Amino acid sequence: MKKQKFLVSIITILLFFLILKESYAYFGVTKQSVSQSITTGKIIYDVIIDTNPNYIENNLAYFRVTVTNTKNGKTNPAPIKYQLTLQNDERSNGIFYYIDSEGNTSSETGEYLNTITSQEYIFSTKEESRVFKVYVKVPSGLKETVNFKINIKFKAL
Amino acid sequence: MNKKLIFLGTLLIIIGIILAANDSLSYFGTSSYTGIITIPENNYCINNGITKLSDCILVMENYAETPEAAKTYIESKGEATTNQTAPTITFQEMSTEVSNTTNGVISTTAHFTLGKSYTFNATTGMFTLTNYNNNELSDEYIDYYTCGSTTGTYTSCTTMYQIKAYEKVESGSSTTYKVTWAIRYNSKVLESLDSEIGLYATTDDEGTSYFYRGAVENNYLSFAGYIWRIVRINGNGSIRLIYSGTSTSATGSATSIGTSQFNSKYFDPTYVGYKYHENFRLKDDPTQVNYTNISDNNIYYYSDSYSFNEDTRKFTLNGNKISGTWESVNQEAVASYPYTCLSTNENGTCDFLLRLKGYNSPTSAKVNYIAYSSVDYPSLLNNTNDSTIKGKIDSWYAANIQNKQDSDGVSYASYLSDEIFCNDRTFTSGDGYSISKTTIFSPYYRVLNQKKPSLSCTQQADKFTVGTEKGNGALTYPVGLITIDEAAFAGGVYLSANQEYYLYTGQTYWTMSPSHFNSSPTNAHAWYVTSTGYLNVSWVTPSRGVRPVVNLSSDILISGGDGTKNNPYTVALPNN
Repeated sequence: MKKQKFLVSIITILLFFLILKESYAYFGVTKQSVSQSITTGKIIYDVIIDTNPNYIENNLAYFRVTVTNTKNGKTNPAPIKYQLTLQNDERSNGIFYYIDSEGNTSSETGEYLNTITSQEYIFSTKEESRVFKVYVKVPSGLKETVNFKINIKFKAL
Repeated sequence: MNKKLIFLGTLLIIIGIILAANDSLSYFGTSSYTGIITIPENNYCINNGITKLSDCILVMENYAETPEAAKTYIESKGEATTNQTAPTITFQEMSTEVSNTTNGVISTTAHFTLGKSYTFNATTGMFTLTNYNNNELSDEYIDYYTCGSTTGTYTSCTTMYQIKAYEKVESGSSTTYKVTWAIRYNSKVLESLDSEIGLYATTDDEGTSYFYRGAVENNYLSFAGYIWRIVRINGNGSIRLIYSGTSTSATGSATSIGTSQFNSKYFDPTYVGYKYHENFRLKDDPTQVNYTNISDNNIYYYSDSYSFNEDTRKFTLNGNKISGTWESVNQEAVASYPYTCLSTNENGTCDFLLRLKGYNSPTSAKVNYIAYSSVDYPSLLNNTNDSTIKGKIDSWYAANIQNKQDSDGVSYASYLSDEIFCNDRTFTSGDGYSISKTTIFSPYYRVLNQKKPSLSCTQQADKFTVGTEKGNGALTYPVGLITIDEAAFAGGVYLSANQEYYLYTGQTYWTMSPSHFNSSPTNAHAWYVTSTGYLNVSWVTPSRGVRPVVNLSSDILISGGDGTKNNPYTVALPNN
């Protein structure tokens, strides 16, 4: 009987922590579409997508993606490795090219592609951020709306 | 009993597995984001039936279907945050060891302002000396910091030096101090946020004006064989342009037509005028001023009488004279030889004379002025004489706009309209004309104190136009300069470096706005844009870049381009 009570208590405590952890992860998700950010139970990071209509250089539209290892004043305690993939969403027809805040580009030859995968980047345990300036073109040369999707894979090291 | 235990044990194992899996998920997360971006079309305006340049400028802001829709969008952005640069910039301090034993990294024949320490402002990119004094360079000042400026007291700068070694070179009566080894401090842009970019709206005297702000890249325009940057659509629909050289990639001095003094004369408030009037009278002003522009090691001449030449309008010392540093002869000078030009030449002349009344310090004296200077404020506004810079601009305009034709043989002047260039000489303190009082002109108060620029020009005499319908009719040609208010709306801020906004060229250049008249030393000051993009004030006498400003008529058509660097707007006259 005592063993039973002990096991029930353990299970109750485990369930409590499990529920608490899931809630934390879900409530960390904010701002859909243009800007999203996530704080999971283990990795703290923030991603902001800025599609200001004035972001045009030499008639090329671009948007900015800012990735940081800080959220609400807290910095992830462990180093993070991350990688971005940019592609079209909902049958859009865009081609992409990026330059990051250190001057690294998605293509040394300046090639625009319909899917681009970044190199693997690392954040240390210090507060860090990196901005990706993503230029978008459409083959037609006409005014067009492009729906894009960004997948970011994170891994704590 | 056993069955229950087996069940609970199994449950425990399952929960353990779930927890472990959850942990690994959080360590190997994948997140997805979506967004929408509008890709601009080449020749958007022409393809969509928008023919007027002013309409095209508006719709290109957000690829709106109509100018009205664009205006609604622009006005919905609200007021520009003019107490911050656009874009907002975060600077990071950098340092490099530099040496130059031949000419010196920096050098002076006078004093440096020397500080024991400094602060660095990451928002403005400015270094500021602390615990400083203005003195001759000596061994005592090794490891001190200086902005390297050689006149006045300069305590803020974008490049600063820590002195490690220096050389004193004596040649005849002059001494040069060369800093031969130093640590140079400057900064780089760590982060630049395009928080405010594009067109914003405010009011001018004729309606709503739409002005460009921040690091815009779509306001290039080709006209009369030159490249211009669009500053704003004026309230009446005409389009204000600032000269930007002959290529969209021009920088530095290539973005100006040359350099000029704002005015070659400086000793009266009238010289802040784009045109000025010398309604002068010989005045012995009893107002006592603490005069501070005295060098403590210069040997000056002092006399017991003086004369004034009506033709040259210069003062000369007469009668019995003495000479010496101000510190060494001050008692004798005040008692018996009270007149001085503060000249190191015995026969030197001056535009105004000091009557010495008392000693403050080796570099400061109590004085009153004897001057041939403005009688009152209203007559100062009579706009009879061209400033030096107006002469330079008018000559350029006559040769390059007025007397130059397009491919149809039409003078480029036909494309332009006569709009107001504001030389705002209204003032918030002082009296606007006395040399013994400091006058603060309104642009100084608005842009430096309040950080609230305005496109309104309130005083008729300050509204420079060719005709008298809108303004003073004092211009020869419809050309002028940018105002400091326009530079502030564009993203410039007083003493806040900004190498990102479109008015940054890498060269200093004059604006049309008066700043202040200083009673000690007596100097008329005007506003200018510095080579690191911040807004500043200076005496009117230094030579700085000249960037003419003109206004295209409101009915000018777009003939091509989209305003980008590779494809600037081109313009045409209306068909009728």
